[in-house]
Formats: sequence, C-alpha cells, structure tokens
Amino acid sequence: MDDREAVFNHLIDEHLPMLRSVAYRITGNAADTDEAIQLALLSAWKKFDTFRGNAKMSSWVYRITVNASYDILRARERESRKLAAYATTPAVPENDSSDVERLEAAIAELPELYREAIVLGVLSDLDGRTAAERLGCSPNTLYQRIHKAKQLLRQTYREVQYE
Amino acid sequence: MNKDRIDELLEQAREKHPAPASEFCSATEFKQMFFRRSRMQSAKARPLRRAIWGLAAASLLLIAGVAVQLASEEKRQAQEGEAADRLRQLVALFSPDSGIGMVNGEPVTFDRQNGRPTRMVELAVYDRNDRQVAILELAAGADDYFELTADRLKGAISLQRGPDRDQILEFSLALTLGNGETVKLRDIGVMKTGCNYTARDADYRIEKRLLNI
Repeated sequence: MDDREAVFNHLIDEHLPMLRSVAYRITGNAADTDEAIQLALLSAWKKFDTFRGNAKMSSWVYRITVNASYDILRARERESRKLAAYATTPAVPENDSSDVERLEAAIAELPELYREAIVLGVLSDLDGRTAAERLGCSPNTLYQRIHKAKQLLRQTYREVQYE
Repeated sequence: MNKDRIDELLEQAREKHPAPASEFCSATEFKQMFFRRSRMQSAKARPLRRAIWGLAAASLLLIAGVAVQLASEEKRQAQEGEAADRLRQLVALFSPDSGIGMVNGEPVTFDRQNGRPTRMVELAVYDRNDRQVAILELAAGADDYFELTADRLKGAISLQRGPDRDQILEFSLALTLGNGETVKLRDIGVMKTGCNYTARDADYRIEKRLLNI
C-alpha cells in the first residue's frame, strides 16, 4: 500500500461513520449516501498532491460529501418528477409537506457555504469545534455562518412555503 | 417565521433520519470499492500517454493530442458498435416482431409487442466485489413491453418514449447466475440513448444503457 492509499485507508477508518451520518440525513438511503462519499473521496484522491496536510483534505471530503449528497438528491427528485408524468394511474396527492420537510427543502436551496454550516454545524452530531475543523474554519467563523444561514432560512422557508 | 421556530425545526430535523447500520456495507467493503474506483480513475490517464507516443511514431502528419482524442472516441464507439452489430445480426435472423437478445453472449427469445426493434437495452450486472456477473443485451422498440421466460432470465421490461427524446426504462427481473443463485433486480429510470446510467438493487450494481440498432 503506497502513501496515498495509507492516508485514505486511515481517513475512511476515522471518518466513514460520521460521513455516513451526515450524508444519510440528506439522501435518506444507504446507496446514495455511500455514492456521495465515494465521489467526495475520489475527488480528494485526484487532488491529493495539492493538499497540505490531512486536515485540509478531510475538510474537503466533508464539504464535497454534503454537496454531492444534495446533487444526488436533486437528480433523484428530477427523475421522480419525470416518471410521475408518465404514471398510468394518477398519483394520489400527497398531504402537504410537514414544516420540517419544508425546512429541509429550504436548506437544500441555501448557498453552499451556509448549507455546509447548517448540515455539519447544526444537524450533525458533531460539536461546534469539531464541525469547524471538518469545514476547515474557526469555530467563530462557523457560528457566524450558522447565524447567517438561519437568517437566510427564515427568508427561504417563507418562499418554499408559498410555492 | 421567528428565530425560535427555526431553531425548533432545526432540532426536529436533527433528530430525524438516524442512519441504520444494517443498511450499509462494512467499512472493509466500502474501502475495497473505493480503491477499485480510484485505481480505475488513475488508470484512465495512462493509455492516453501511450497512445500519443504510438501515434506520433506511426504518423508524422497528425498532431498528437487530436489523434489521442480521436483514438479514445473511436474505441468507445467501436465497442458500442460491436455490441449493437451483434444484436442487429441476431435480429435479422428472426422476424421483426420477434423478441431476441443475448444473456451472457447466449441468445434468448421472448414475447414482446409488435414493431421493429430499434434499440438495444443493455444491462450489465455487478456484484458487491465489482465483478460482472451478467450482461443482458435485448432488442426492443422505442415503445415496447416484453416478458422473459427463459430458465435463467424471467421477468418483464418496459420501454416508453419520453419528452426531450428521453426514454423510460423499467424492469423487474429474476436472473439466475452461473452459481445457481437467483437475483431479483428492479429499477425504473429516465435515460437518453447512448448515455450510461447506474442503478443499485440490494447488493448489486446495474450499469444501464440504450443504444440504437
């Protein structure tokens, strides 16, 4: 096993459970969760030589995992909408989304920086300091981003509610 | 919407969706899959360099970079062309309404709706160790439905036209592998002809594509 493989071996051992927890909250299924994490790791693998220290790389992996999870979720939702258009029997109208589901939709619409802050800093089981490390920023910066994200959520939540 | 309500909803969202461990493969299997994919990713870069030197030596008239791109694209198209050609030749041996295809290279027949087959439905099935366990190449019309009753492949496949030249492919199959194990595969998805798609069902990965024949 060469150096790069050893680094990734260790990274997966250390971070896979938390990465799965973070991604699963977004995708809601194991296959898409693991696919998002694999994509993030492959991206880091490609850029391995540009990372100065493992801390930078693990931050990258967490951030790409969050973004890849949302990409996969959106692709699945687009496909579902297309398929629904071809259903031979009319779909039973769903009940209105719950407040939490509307909030999750609003989170998905946030700019990446604030979406990552909410997903890792608020929704995950990580404490603030660890979440900040994963994101590659200081705890203070993370708290500011969370504060800003909540402001944006209040605004975006209202827009989603009235769609 | 006040701040307290946002905080309350965030807390509810935080408590949702615990990730059940039983749904996931082991960390060892995850790593095996990742390292296989990373090696494939790295390996894609190497043939390009070999091709540049090979073509430069073979011809003084071509610019090396353009030649490599042409060679890679031609190889991909040739592989697709071979698969479609094989199936087209098989289809020509039967009437236009016949259902014909290949499972792991062996011909199979099945009932399908009328119409000349214009598409090849290709489903390549891989197990958890990324080993190809089956490949199905079935001739179909653009709007078609067929039922398969061969010993090693039973089930139904539906192909429908969509907007934007999409196709909707749905299948529900029971595939008997070489070791006697029967695998159930189900999926529905939107596809464009010539593009590759991936579906997953339980422990299996299915690489799907539609080609014109």
